[in-house]
Parts: sequence; C-alpha cells; structure tokens
Amino acid sequence: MYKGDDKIDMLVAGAKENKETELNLYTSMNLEDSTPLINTFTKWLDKNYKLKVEVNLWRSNSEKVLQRGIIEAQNGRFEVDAFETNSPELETLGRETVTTQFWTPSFKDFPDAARDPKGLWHATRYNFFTAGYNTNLVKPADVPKTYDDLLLPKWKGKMAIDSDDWDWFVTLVKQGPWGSEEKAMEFFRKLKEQDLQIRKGHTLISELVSSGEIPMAITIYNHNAERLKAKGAPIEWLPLEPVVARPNGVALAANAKNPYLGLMFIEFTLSKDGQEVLQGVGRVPSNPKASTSLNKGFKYINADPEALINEAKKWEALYHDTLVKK
Amino acid sequence: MALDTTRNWSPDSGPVSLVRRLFTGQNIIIAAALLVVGYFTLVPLVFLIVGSLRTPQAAHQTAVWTLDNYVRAYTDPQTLQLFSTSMVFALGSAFLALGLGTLLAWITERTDTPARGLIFALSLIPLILPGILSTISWIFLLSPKIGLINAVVKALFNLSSPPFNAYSIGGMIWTEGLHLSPAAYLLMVATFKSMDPSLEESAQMCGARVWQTFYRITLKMAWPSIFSIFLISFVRSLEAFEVPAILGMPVGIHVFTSRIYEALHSWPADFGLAGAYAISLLAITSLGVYFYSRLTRQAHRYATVTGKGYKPAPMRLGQWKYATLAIVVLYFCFILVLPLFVLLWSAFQPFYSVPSLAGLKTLTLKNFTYVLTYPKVLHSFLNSLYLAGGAATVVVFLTAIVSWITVKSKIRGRWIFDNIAFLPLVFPGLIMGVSLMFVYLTLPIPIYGTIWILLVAYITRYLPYGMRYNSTSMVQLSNELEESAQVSGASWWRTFYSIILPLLKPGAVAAWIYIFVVSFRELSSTILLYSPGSEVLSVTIWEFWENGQYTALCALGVLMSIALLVVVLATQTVSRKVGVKE
Repeated sequence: MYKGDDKIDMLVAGAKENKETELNLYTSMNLEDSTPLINTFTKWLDKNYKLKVEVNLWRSNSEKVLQRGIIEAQNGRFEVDAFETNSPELETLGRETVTTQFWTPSFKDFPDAARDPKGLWHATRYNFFTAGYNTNLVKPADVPKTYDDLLLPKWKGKMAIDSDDWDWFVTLVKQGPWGSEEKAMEFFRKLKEQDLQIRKGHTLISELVSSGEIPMAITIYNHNAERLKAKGAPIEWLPLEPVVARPNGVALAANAKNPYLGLMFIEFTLSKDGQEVLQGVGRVPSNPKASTSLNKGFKYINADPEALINEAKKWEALYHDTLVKK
Repeated sequence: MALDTTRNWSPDSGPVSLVRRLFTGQNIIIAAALLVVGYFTLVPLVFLIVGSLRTPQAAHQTAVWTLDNYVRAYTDPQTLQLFSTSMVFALGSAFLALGLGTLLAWITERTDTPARGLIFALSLIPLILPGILSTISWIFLLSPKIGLINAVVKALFNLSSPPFNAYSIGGMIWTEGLHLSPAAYLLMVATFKSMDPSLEESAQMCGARVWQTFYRITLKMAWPSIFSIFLISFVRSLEAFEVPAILGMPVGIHVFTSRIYEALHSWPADFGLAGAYAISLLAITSLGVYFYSRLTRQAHRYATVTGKGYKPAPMRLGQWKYATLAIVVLYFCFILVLPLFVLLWSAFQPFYSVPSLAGLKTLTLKNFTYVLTYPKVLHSFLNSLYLAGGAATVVVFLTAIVSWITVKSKIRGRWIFDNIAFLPLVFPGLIMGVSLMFVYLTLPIPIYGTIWILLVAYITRYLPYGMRYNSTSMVQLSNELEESAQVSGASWWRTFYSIILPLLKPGAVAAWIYIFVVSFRELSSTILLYSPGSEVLSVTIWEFWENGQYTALCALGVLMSIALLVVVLATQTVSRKVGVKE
C-alpha cells in the first residue's frame, strides 16, 4: 500500500480518471451531526481539489448498517463506498470481508491505539461511558468518586444501568481498578445487590435522569448529558475512573464503486477540518489534540472490539446473569 | 358408443369448454388476488422457516441445515416462565382493549349519547402517536416516584404511599390495553355500522332493557368481530415490545418477545433462534384463525344486511345518556387528554420534564422550528404520505376480494387463505425487513433500493388488518343481495364492484384509515429497507428518539396528529359522497 505524502493528489487524480461523482456512505451517526460533516466535506473537495461530488447518505443504527452491508455484499450488490459506525460492527464488516485495508496521510496525526491493527478501520470519534446524576436529587457532597462508592448503602434502589452494556462490563472486568477478574466480578455482584433498575437505551436513561425518575445512572454517554445540560436540564456527567471508551470509526468497502472518493472521505474525517466539525456538533473527536472538554481530566481505556467479538456470547451471558436477571 | 361420442362433443364438456369455464372473469380475479396475497406473505414465511432451520452464514463458515435453533429455543428452562408471563400480559391487554373498544363503539353507534360525532375523529389521535411516547407518558403519570396521578391521588386521600405503579404487570396491561383500544374501537364501529339494528329494535319493542339488548342481541350478533378483535389484540400484545421493555424490564418482568429481540440484537444476529421463537407465535395465531373460520362457516347466522333497506336509529337512553357520556369523557381522559397533555407540555419545553408551575417560564417554540427545518423532513413527510396512501388502498382492495373468498365462496380449505393473509401479523418486523432484502437482491425484480420495496413491506405487514376489517363486514352481508344481482344477469365482477364493495364501505373506510396511520408509523422493516431518496417520516421519528430529542419528537407528534386529522376528515368527506349513504 502506497504511503507517500502525495497520496491525496493521487486520490484526486484517480477520482477524476474514474469519473467518480458520488459517494455512497452508510453511517450510524445521526443526521443532525452527519449532515454538517457531509456539507463541509463536499465544500472541502470543491474548494481544494475542484471536485464536485454528491453524497448519498444512508443513516440507520449500527446493527442495521452492519446487516445491510453484509447482506448486500453476500448477494453481490455493491452500493456502498464507505462506512462510518461503531467499532465492533466495523470489526465484523472486516471479518466478513465487506471492507478492506486502507491508509491516508492523516493517519500520522493519530496514535496507533486509534486504529485497527489489521488496518481495516480507523477511529474518528469516541463514546465515553460515564456515570450521570440528577443535580436536584444528589447533593454535591454525596457524589461518588470511585466505582466502589456506588456500593454505599445510600445508593440502594436509586441507580439504573443499560440492559446491553456488556462491552463496558467486559472492559472493566479485564482492565478495571480492582486488579483481578475475580475482584471485579465481586464488585459487580455487590452492585447487583443495590437493586439496580434495568433500562434500555442510553438516551432514555439520560432523559429519565433529567426528569428525576432516576437519581443516578451508571452508564450514559457524556455527550448526551452535555447536550441536556446545555438546555438547562438538572443533569451532570461523572467520570468514574477508568472511563470506558468505545471508538466509532471509518472503513472502506472492498468492492466500492467510488474507492477514491471513499478514501477522500476517510482522509477528510480524520483531517483537522473533519475533526473540528465533529467537535463542533458536540462529539468527542478521536484526535487526542482536539480541544474538547469531553475527553479531558480523566483516565480512559478503550473497549477492544476484537476481544469483544471473539467472546461476545460469553460476556453477553455473564453480564445478563450478573446484573440484568432478577 | 354412439351416445358416448355425442356426450364428448356436447358444449358442456371437453377440454375447450373446461378452459372456458375455468377462465371466467371471476376466477381470474380470484386467482390473481390469491396469487398476489400468497406471494406477499409466503415469501417471508419461507424465509422465516428456512432461516430457523439453518446455522448463521458468515464469511468463513457456510450455513448448514440444523434443528439446533428449535432445541435451544424450547429446552431453555426460562422459556416456559417467559411464555406464561407473556400470556397473562397478552390476555389482559386483549380483554381490556376489546372491552373498551366494544363499549365505546356501542355508545357512539347505537345510542343517543351527546357529542358522539366527535369521538370517531378523537379516537384516531392515539393511533398516530409513537408508541414509545405514549408509554413514557405513562411513566410520567403512574410512576411511584414522579407520577402526576400518584401525586394527586396521594394528596387527595392522604395516602402514605403512592397507590399506583406503572412498573408492574397491571401497569403494563393498562398501558398496552389502552394503546390497542382505538384499533378495537375502529373495528367495532365498522361492525355496528354494517349491522342492521332491526333485531335490537325488536328486542326493545318487546320490553328488553338496554343492557339486555346489548348483551343478548348486539354482542351475540357481533360475535365474529369480537373474536377477530380479540385475536388481533392478543397477537399484537404477544409481540409487543415497547411496553415490556420500558415498564417491565426495570423491575425484571420479562416477556417472550424480549427473547426474539435479544436474539436479533446479539452478535452476529441470530435469525435462526428468533425464527424458531416466531414459529410458536405463528402456531398460536393459526389456531386462532382456524377457530374463527369454524365460527364464520355458518356466516349466514350473522348476516343482518339483507335486501331490505335499513337505517340504524339510535337507542334512546334517557337519563342514562349522561352516564355513557361520562364513560366516554373518562376514556378520553386516559387515552388522550393525559398523555397528550404530557406530550403537548413537552413539545413546548427545552427538555422532557414532569409538568410543573416552574416549567411555565421555560415554554418555547424552538422544538417546532427545529422539526420543520430538520434535514429532509418535508421530503420524508411526502414519501410517507404516498406510501401510507398506496399501501392502505392496495390492502383494502386485495383483502376485500380475499375476504369474499374466505367468507362467501365454497372453495375447500378457504380458511387457509384467511390464515395466509393473517401470517404477517406475527413476523417480527426486522425479520420481514431482512427477508425482503434477500428476496429482492436475488429475484430479477428491480425494486431494491427504491421506494417500491417499502410499499411491498407495508402491504405485507398490514394485510392482516385489512383482512379482519373486511371479513367482519363481509360476514354481516346476506347472500341474497349478491344472488339477486346475479339473477339479474350481472357478472361476478359487476356484482362485487357495485353491490359488495359499497356495502363493505364502513369497514373498508375504517381499514383504510387504520392502515394509513400504522404505515405512517412503521419502523422495524423500514429502518433496514429505506434508501437515500426514499426517506420516510418514521425514520425521522426514530432518529429523534435515538438522539434523545424527546421534546422535538413531541413537537413532531403534535404536527403529525394535526396532519392526520386533516386526512381523516377528508377521507370521511369523500367517502360520504361515494357509494351508499350511511
């Protein structure tokens, strides 16, 4: 794979020669945030490279992005050029040979941890699993400082957790502050005895925290809480260390009809311009130099998508048995 | 020998006339309708069954035949427990929906209760509201912690603890039953409209009391419809997802469908296991449809619309009409006013919150401007409008023919057609989406990636409703009307078009409105099947929900309710001008 600095020029020339005029993108990023990204991308292409391009955006949830990508490829239908979605789904797309390896010049601005070692995807933004609480119901002095504080008797019956957060769970069991898997499991078993409310959906949980139905949530996304806070809702997010981060990233379709534009989109999303758009819409960009407050001041660890997928069934069941089941 | 030869050449037999007899206009239309319905429903069924007998397909692992999915599904010790919880939930919700719908329909169609004209239009609003929103509004009303009703009742009666709990099997049945009751009401309205009330009038003449007439005559005559509604509500609650997920899960009440959901949302999606679970829902439904067909085999017993003209005259209730009015008002408080109040309140708030005096200061119009300027929102709205109108029209027309076959024809095994048209009701929407994807990526019919695949999905999903609505009205029609048309020399098609369709009108209009509304809302297949260019409004709704923009969602809900009311009023005006007078 060519990794020279003039790769962008080669991509532009390739796009022109291949007569690529549209990019087909499948993403799980919501329209409100992906629309500005796309608009800036097309302007960037036009201004810098005199490329006029139309982007066909298909937005769904990450599971559907995965399903559609796989089913289309299995049936020999190659509609999509690039993907932007959760890393476990990107990992699966890679395994199913729907996507292929790639490299663009902006890779140099990122640490190795921001991309798949096999070269099949690159992180563009992070979802941070933080705790969150209702500021009317939880006094500043009572705010927990560590995971173990959640085991205090005063939290009994007041906490909620999402029913599907086994990726958060496995990451903490393996790399949490307890030193060993047995001790971590002991923590989770005690956490269960706190009469956890099981809820479905992180945004619903954040809203219910704002409304006072849930005083303390253990797993919400901090960018959700930040948005509610900006509207005046009584909610605050809380980084219990280490915070678990789940990367979202980009990947290139193996049978893309517009491979040059696909790569240009990836390059743009990882560039300073693209990362700034993501930050501007309240996301947490994956570039460590980005000046956002959402990834500062706390220690975080990455959920490893490869391990997640290899042991998905085991951890899903263990999470369910340990925390969800009554 | 000679005789035999002549017989062979007689005009009534021989291959040529056999062809002529088989290829009459009637048979061609019937065969075409059956083929279309069969195609729409059996394709996903085959997919479901084959999928439940295969291992998952992956890049380094080809799918093989297996019974393992069934073994896993039915040897799990929890399955029985989940199933019995599901049954309690589904039976409770179905009885509640049926009871409310029937009572309300009787009040509006058969009595002189004041303001009953308004009720029909009002009862449609709950249908358009996203189920997620109405469920959440019940948290805001009945939660022990923040529920408004709990707070008020607690203060009024000086109670020490909140009297109601949304997070219980009772709370779940209440929410689901209420949610299903407008559909039950619509179906019962159609039934009452196409039921000649002369028997009820005779009963009253003979001195029967109002409730005696209701119980002994009205209910007995409406028995096929009642069974239909029960079946449809039962199956819908059996496969309901929102209420169990939002109200049951937090307190550990799990139902059968959450298993299907889990199977589809694990990595990789376990279609085989989900299919194996879905097959048992299919078996239960088939049993129900079989009993229904036994019931309507003697359809003439329920036929009230005969050659004689009829005009329903409302029963005079005297003072009791205020009691029935009170029931109506109370019902609309629960189904509409309270949830809509929470909804309206939220639509004007910056974030979702329990209504309060302090909130008055933060009222805002931002949500409405946000919704109206959201990317592609108008485009999506128009697409939804075309699709919902198209699906409703096709379904109503197709099922009118199929219900004629199942109710009026003497074709052997006709109940199977009824069952086939009912099948899509139990397919999880997601499986339907995936199966349609496979089908149209494989078959040389170029609708994949276009808006047409959504039309196919909606038609398939809502055939069962068209079927219930039309078949219950069909049961009420006496054969003598058809027979006299045929005696007068009308062709089958002419009879069907000029006699049967107009008489089916009350049911067909109700079906059209209902299917229009639910197609507008359909998400679980849409979310996989839509493509750039064929965006629809339900995806926007889902998007707001996913992003936690509940207040924007509420604003959209309010706008959609207004748009829906306009469509419904227009439909009613048009339908009044076409066909028989009501």
